[in-house]
This record gives sequence, C-alpha cells and structure tokens, in this order.
Amino acid sequence: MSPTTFSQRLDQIARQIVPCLSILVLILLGAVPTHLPYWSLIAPMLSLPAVFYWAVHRPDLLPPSIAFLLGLFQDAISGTPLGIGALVLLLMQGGVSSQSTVFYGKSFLINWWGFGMVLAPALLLVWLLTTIYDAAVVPFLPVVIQYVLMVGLYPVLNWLLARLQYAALRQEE
Amino acid sequence: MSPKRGPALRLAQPFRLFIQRFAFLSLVLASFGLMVFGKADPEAVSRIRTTVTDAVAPILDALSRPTEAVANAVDDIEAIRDLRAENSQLREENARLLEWQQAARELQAQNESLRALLNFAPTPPPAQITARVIGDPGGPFAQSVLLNIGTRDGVRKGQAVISGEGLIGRVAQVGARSTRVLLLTDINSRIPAVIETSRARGILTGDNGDQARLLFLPVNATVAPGERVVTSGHGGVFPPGLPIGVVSSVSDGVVRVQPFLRRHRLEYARVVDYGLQGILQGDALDEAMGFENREEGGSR
Repeated sequence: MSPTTFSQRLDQIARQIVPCLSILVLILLGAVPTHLPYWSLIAPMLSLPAVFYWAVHRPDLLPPSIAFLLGLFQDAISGTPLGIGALVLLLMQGGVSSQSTVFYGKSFLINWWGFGMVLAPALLLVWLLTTIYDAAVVPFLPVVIQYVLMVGLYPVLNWLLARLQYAALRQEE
Repeated sequence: MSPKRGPALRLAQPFRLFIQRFAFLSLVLASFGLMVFGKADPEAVSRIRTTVTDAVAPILDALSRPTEAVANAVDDIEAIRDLRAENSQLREENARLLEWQQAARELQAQNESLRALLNFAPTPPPAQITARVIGDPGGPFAQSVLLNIGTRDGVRKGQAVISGEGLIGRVAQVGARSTRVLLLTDINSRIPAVIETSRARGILTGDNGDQARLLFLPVNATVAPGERVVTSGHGGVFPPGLPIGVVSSVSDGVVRVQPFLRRHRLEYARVVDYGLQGILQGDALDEAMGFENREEGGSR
C-alpha cells in the first residue's frame, strides 16, 4: 500500500508513531503519584515491557534511536542518572529485535517467558550502573520485587498493547 | 509491510547492515558518554532534565488529579469508618492540648517580656510556597517527587521542602514551572541532623528504602529508639529544628530513623525560603563531604 494523498500519508505517519507514543504515555503514567503505600519503592518501569512487545511485534516501528530517546526521556522524568535508562531501553530493543524470530508468532507463554529472561539482565544492569554512578550500593531486594512485579504485570500490558496494535496498525499488516 | 527493493538497494544491503550496527554502537557509546558527562558537568545535564520536566509538568499535573481524587475518596470512606474511635481519641488529645495551650500562653507572655527586656528584633517568618505534588516516579533506583512550581514562583535550588509532618527533602532541580525534590530517603540525600534531646549530631542519609540512617554520630553518643531527630542547621543548608523523624532502631551502631515523611500521602508540599543561601553553602557542604550529588547544577 503506497500512500497517494497527503491525508493518507498523514494517517500512515500517525499510525506508525503509535509504538513510540504508547511507550511515552506509559513512562508518563509511571510517574503519576499512585498514593499506594510502599508502591513508590518498587514501582515498575513500564517502558521495558512495552519496548519488549514492540521489538517483538513491530521492530520496524521502534528503531534504536527512538528507544534511546525514550530512555533519555524516562531518565529525565524519573531522576535516574541520564543515560542509564537510555542504554537499557536501547539494549532491550536491539537484543530482542535481533532475536524477534524466536518470539514472533509464538504463543503468549513463550513471549512471557522470554520477557522474564531478558528483564533479569536488564534490571541487573540498571542496578549495577546506578550503584557505580551513586558510589553506594543500591539495595537489591526492592529490585527483585520490582522484577517479580514487572513479570506479573506483563500479561496485562501485552494484552493492552496487542489491542492497540490491532486497532491502529492492522490495516497495513 | 516490506518495501520494494531495487537492485541498487540489494547491493547496498551489507553496507546498510554495517551502518545500522554502527548507529547502534554509537548510541550505546552515547549512553555511556552521557553518564560520564553527567558526572563531569552536572549543570549541563541538569538543564536537559529541567527542559523535559518543564515540558511534561502540565501533562503530569492533569494526570495526577484523578488519582488524587480516588485517593481522597478512599480516605473519606476510611474516615467515616473510623469516626467513633477517632472522636474519642481526639477528645483525649484535646484535653491534653488545652493543658499545653495554657503552658504555651504563659511561656509566650514570659518570652515577650524577656524579649522586650533584651530589645530583641524577631526574624520575620520565612516565605513559603505551597505546591501540588504532580509526579512521583517511583522505583528502587531514585527517590524524588515533582512539584508544579518553579523559578517563576521563587523556588531556588537547595531550599527545604516540608509537608504537614516535617521535612521531606530539598530542592534538587528547578525549572521554570517544575521542581524536583530529592527526598530525604534517597541514597544521595545528606542532611545534617541532631537527636533532639541528647543533641548528638550526625548526617542523615537515605538508602532508597522507606527509612533513613543517621551516620557519623559521636562515638560516645547514646541513642534509644523513640527519640526525635531534627535538622541541626549545620552547613547552612536548612534551619535548625525542622522535624525529620523518630529513631526506629539501633543495632550494631547503625541508627535507623523512621521519617515523618509519608510518601503515599503526599499531595501538597511547601517549599520554604529561610534566606540561608542554602544553594551556595549546600554545594560547599557537598564538596566538603567529598561526594557529588547527581542533581547538582542549576543557576547560581
């Protein structure tokens, strides 16, 4: 399908930035105060599962540069050292999209298991880099709880993003 | 969607792959570069941060209102449930407070007469700016909240931020319309503090958990759980006497402090200008302590 008119082209662009926008919105939502006790200590990074999802399903719409910029955006908002989030989202995008044949078209359980597999080194890297950057050991237990929480939340996010992908991108697939 | 490829493009395929790999590696290096740059020139990095937080502040402001409304509704329901118990508790407290009021009146009268004797000129009360908490980007790696005020409201870096209960942290980064507060439980937070009764001085530092630790206490200091911890005013960052929390446990020389800060209840906070030039002296304190805060920078 090659775009002909200006409005068609605009429509196509709007659809193609859906993955990027969805991650942007998730980062913003993650920064909204939840007013839940102890939540703030272990609040999940919603960007990572979303980057995983899009890197599996539409790697063409989530290039490394966009993952990098989204990571910077996340760093700027969450107050983590600038560059750490950028690196982790970038590596997640690069690592998963290069292996997307392993996950693409497979059952949801395989995807879920895969996310759990790649999330562990990702969070470990954030923990290691933050510890080096702050020159103080960041407690590890909250990171483990955050990992469990993020793996537990993945089915919900996967479902939401799949709906979004179906609604916005099915026409061109 | 697969774009049609001409013969020229097919030939260029290995080259394109090379460019892609090169771009990816450059971005990885750029990430590391940013981290190093953030340590070397925190001011420039801080400017990137404030630009982003300023841009999203109105969005966060709007997004945070529904969750606040829900939290308030839940609070209301809990309040109705606990009405009876709370009522009797408040009666008791009221009786006790009336006694205190009497004592306070006497002390005030005595204080005024003594001040008159000394020709004491009282310092004017500090200016306060009340702000809404619009962002609480949680996670185990940093502890800060975002406020919907900024330099145009008179906020400056290093100022103390308090809530109804006591000190919650200090202003670490200010944009035109957004302010980042480094909470006192953050791993990078250092606050000169003192045990209220014994006057033993120390430095309060966080570990990204819900408690803080009191370090560098005098060797012979005796600390017991339940003692109140307040700011000491040393280093000129904060005025002395701001309530911080209560000693929760002492074990193996580690003094843990339960702050009065209740992060999930934070809806409003007050930025207080005590006119202590905390920004300059705050940086000097950081340097003297041999560490650098990741949020350092901002305008001087």
